[in-house]
Amino acid sequence: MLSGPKEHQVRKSQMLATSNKESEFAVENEINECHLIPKQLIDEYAQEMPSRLNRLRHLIPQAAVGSAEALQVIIDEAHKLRGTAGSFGLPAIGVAMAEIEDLLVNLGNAHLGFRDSGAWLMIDKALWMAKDAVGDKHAPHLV
Amino acid sequence: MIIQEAQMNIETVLLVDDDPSIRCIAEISLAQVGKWQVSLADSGKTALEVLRSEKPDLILLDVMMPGMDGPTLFGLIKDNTVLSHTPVIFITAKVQKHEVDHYHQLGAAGVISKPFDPMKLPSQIRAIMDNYVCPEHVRDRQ
Repeated sequence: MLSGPKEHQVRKSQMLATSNKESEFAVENEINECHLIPKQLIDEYAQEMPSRLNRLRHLIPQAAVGSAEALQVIIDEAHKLRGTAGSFGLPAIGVAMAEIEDLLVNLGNAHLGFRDSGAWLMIDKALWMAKDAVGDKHAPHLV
Repeated sequence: MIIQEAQMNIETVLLVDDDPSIRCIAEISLAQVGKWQVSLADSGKTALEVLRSEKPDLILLDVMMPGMDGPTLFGLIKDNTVLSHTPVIFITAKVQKHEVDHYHQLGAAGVISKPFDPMKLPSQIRAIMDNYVCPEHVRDRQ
């Protein structure tokens, strides 16, 4: 998980600016010059992706039959992945998550209800695309 | 109206985002590329705690956060006499035109979309700040 320890939540990072050698990231990791982000962080992000996508996979059927809680979790998670995946070199996941988030939000805004099978097929397809992007062999099948 | 422009010299940045991945990559970007001192907050509530003891030169603010969302925190910042002139840049995946217009209408210095390129984030910030005129530097002269 990338979620850092408590001390990471509020702390100054002047050391990162002043000394790469002393930084927690630069000591053990090779800096990716193209993306700046240490390879280990990118790998960790990618490695946790199958479990995050599988979580969505299991929540989507619940949302499709009217679970508002499951729906909100999916929207929140899709929103997070939409905003981060591209920065970690996984833009296809970001695109897929954007589609999922927008579909769900638009369904809600349009008051169409969440039993729109066409929308869920599109969400299923987007989730497949995301799975493919991380090379997971166990792509979900929801519908 | 004559606008007195003042060059913003950024040394300290507060990033407020509930997503640890964003905090992680943005911190690296802002510190290593931007050469700025970075403070992090994982929520609006934590940000308010940080702002009791720090006055950053710039605040990067996520929009969608559980609990206190970005626009709510923004309102509190602008209502605070000490902090009201601190420029705030929203950093968000919600960047449809009407959303961006709304952030500007609130008084944001700018909007940066997610995902961002960590190599380019500081230059995006500088570009926004180069065009930013702090309200306190706007004076009417007749």
